[in-house]
Amino acid sequence: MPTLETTLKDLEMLVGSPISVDDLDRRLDWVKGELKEADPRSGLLKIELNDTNRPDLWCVEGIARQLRGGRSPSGRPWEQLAISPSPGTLVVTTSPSVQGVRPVIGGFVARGPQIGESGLTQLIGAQERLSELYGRKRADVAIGVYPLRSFSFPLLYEAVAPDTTSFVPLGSEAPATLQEILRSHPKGKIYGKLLSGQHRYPLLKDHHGKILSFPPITNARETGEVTTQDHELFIEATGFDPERVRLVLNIFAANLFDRGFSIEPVTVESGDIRRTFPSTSPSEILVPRSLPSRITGESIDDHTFRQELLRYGYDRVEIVPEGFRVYAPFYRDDLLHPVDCVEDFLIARGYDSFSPTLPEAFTAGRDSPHRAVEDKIRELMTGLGFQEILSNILTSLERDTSDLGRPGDRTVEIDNPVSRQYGVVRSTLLSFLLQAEAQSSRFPYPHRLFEVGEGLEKHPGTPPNLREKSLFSGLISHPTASVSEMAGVVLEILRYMGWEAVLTSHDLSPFIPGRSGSIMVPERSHPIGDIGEVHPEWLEKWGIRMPTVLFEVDLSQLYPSLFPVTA
Amino acid sequence: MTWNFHPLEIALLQTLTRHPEGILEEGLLSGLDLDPGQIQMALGWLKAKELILESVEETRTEISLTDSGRTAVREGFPEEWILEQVRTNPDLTLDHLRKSVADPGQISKAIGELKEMGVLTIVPGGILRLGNPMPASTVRTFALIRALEATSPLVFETLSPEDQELLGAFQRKRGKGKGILRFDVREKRRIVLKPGIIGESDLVSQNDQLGPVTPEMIQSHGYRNRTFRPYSLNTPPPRPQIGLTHPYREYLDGVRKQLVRLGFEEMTGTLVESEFWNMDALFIPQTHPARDIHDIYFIREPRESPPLDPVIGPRVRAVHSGEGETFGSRGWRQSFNENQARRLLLRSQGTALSARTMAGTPRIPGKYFALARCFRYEQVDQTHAVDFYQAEGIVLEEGASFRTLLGLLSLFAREVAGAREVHFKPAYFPFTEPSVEVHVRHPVLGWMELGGAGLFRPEVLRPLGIDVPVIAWGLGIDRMAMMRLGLSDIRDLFSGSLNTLYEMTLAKARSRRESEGTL
Repeated sequence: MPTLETTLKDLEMLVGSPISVDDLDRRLDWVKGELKEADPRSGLLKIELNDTNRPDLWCVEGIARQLRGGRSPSGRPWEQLAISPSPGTLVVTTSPSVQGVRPVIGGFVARGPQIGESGLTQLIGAQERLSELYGRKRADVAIGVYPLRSFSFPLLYEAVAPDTTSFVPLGSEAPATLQEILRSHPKGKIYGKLLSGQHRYPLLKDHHGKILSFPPITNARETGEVTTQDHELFIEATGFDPERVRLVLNIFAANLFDRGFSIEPVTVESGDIRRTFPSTSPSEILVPRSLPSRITGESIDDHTFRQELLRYGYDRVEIVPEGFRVYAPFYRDDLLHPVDCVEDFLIARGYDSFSPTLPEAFTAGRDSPHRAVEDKIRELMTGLGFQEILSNILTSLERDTSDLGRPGDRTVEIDNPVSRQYGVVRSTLLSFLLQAEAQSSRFPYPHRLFEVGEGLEKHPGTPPNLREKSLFSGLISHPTASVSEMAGVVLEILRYMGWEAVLTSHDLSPFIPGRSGSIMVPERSHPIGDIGEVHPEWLEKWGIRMPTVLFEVDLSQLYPSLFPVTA
Repeated sequence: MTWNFHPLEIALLQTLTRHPEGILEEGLLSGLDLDPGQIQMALGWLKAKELILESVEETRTEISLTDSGRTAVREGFPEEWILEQVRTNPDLTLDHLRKSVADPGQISKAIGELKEMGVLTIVPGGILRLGNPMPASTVRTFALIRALEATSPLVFETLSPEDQELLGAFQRKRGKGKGILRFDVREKRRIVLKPGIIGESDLVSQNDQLGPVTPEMIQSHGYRNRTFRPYSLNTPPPRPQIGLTHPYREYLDGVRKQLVRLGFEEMTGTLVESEFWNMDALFIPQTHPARDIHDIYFIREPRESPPLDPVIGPRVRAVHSGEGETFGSRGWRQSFNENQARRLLLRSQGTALSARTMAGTPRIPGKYFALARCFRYEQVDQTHAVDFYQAEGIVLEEGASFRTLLGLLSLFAREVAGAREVHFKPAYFPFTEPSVEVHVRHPVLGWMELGGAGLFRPEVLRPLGIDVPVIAWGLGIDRMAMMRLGLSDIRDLFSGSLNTLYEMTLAKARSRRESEGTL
């Protein structure tokens, strides 16, 4: 989720009134924001924005604008944005060569007061957040910001061969070809993969041939970086979807307009298609008349609905026979369905202003039958004096296999683990019981532990099958612990569950040969579990110094219909 | 006052009377023909009766290796192992080293120490380089520890002051948790009988009195006309072991009971889900950051689920792409990739269960819940666990609304969290609109988030064939459980250590006493 830093002073300047830090968190409800930090000395604020679908709110200007009910902090009406002084002078020509490489470009010019320190910090911050999150690490949208002083319109956007053109990229001293930039420039190394498989790379230059940038990688050093003294800027965005490029430019235009800049649109010509950015025409959506009342659960009159939406910054709300024709401001593109407008209405009126009511229908509650089996077993085991443990589902491959002397062919591995320590899904609970025992050597003996929970294993096939198990496992550890003591427990518990089980000898690691076996019930052809005395060699490996016995039963073998089968 | 002594006590008292100056505990052990356990037991009784005094004559500290210490000595110390790896592989990076071991935390710690000593440096690119040789003090410390393997325990006080300092510093640095060394303080105690309380007559053997009741005694009526020796009830009895459910499981059981009582039916599902049910059916766009390789765990083999449901699959595709029947939505206007939808992952949210329930034949009106283990892609630390429980659920009801949603959340705040003050905060989830976060005021910790909820979007409901409003809710129960169990480290929720479990059980008992009536 995007987090932005700003100062209280800047936010107050944009909102146009003093703000108390104490109620700021509640005021941020309007923008689905959360005040994460407020430093009373420096006035520094850290705000987390939760709405991943409203990039216009990921900038302090956007937050201030929303808090002012959609009015621009500059005090000017939105109609004044994007008035071209002399149409046709600011043009970017798109060469057909960018088709299939990175076909869409848009931009605008902003002239105004000096951008200043807060203005510049916020501009750069917004550029990073929008290109990283909304632009998905520049794959969908990359944004360039330039001082206007060092080049002149019209511009050309084209795709060129990687090794024929060279220029000095930002942060370097010497010229390099586009190919070399991808290989050795820091940004080239990060974003170069966006151009993999391409034979031509995008390039933006002015009509004298001066290179502005190599989108989406880096700007040229010569056109320079924006400084706090600059008051004439060119903002450009490239990508694949004209709608996404348009939204990003609209947001930047609104932000700079909010800081007192005047915005001059740039026309992009690609063949016969001409597009102008920013574009302030609102998007419209029809909200059925009954929807607000249906969603809120109280009768909402047309006038209130309209008033609240206008208060929340909508351009216009027309009441028509079918319902409400709602016009959203040009810097928003998040209305997928009429329900989105209704939520804005709820936020504008305030969630706490609705009186809660309870569901009306009577419904019967119940545990899942699967849980009922587990609960019965847990009740019986605690009745026998066993302490329940609860373990993580993820573990390491070694823990699940070689630490028990068992092969790993059934263990399900994670393709992208955070660490090897949590690299597989457990197929057994035995290693967790042994680990618990190893950690508890100072606790008075005897130890009787058990756990009931999920496990997973894969079975051979193409592709292999996954089978989820419901494991029921136990451990006894004390000076005279033996397999017969444990056998008594297992057989008795199963008897109380309605199963007459028997044990058959079967050698299995990590148990002493001749002292382990399979647990069988007459109704099943396969063993439902194992039992055995742990061999002292294995006990030593686990750091256990007490005789220890284990068992494990797979309940899903006994109750196959109760346990879900993997997708 | 008349005393009634157990024969063991009498034996002990007789010895102590012969030694008015007192007797060393070990002398007592060797002087009496009794089991040391019995002597300790009788000493305990006499102490409880305040008849004897104990004084510490001398203390000495015995050092021995712990289990992990023995492993370290056998396999080499992490510091030595790291240096060996760096020596043999000059391109080794920190990242690579960390990924190659089972316990990256231990490696990070050892690297930190090596860096501090200047033995290791990290150059740009995270590559490890050797620096100064290992300091003599460290070499000596490791040698001392190795010596312990042969002569254990070692009496700390017999070591030179320099060596004492080295081992002391080593132990302080390592901390007590996963220590390599174990320091046991042994005391030499002298036991003195308090004068003037016990007389000769008190020590007359009371052998004519009866001890334990035996079956033979009952059958032969041997107890008739005889008296039983009185037993002291103030001596601490042995503690029985109680079979208990795990405190966290017990907490979850409580939440489950509460929800069943409120009319919710439990849903269960599998740990492994397809992206389709975990994400697509919930209208999470395929390009959403939460679907990134760094946000969910993918299964290595098999990689894909069987093909998508022939009815629901295309409907979900339509609402994502915005082409075809979209139920009034513009959709995400992105292409929909079926291969991505079929990838198998570890369930990242319990809402997947709600999606599957809705796609089946849910009761309408109906209320459902699940306490589902979910997986989070995070480095494990004090506040982050790889797997955790989520309480999730849905309410399907004709006429359910935003107000019903608030009503339900207020009910949870009261019944599940025991909170009186509630604040509803606008929130964003891709699958609900409107969405809300519910915050409650905790008496000590102040405002905290209890959970998130909302009305499912039409883009979620309609493709699954649901045409009544559905409330979706989720509660962050692991945090509430930690508060109730007195834990500050989330990893302890899944600890198997019996000591930790015992502490948690006691904390829970205290908390239950303090807040009667809530979970």
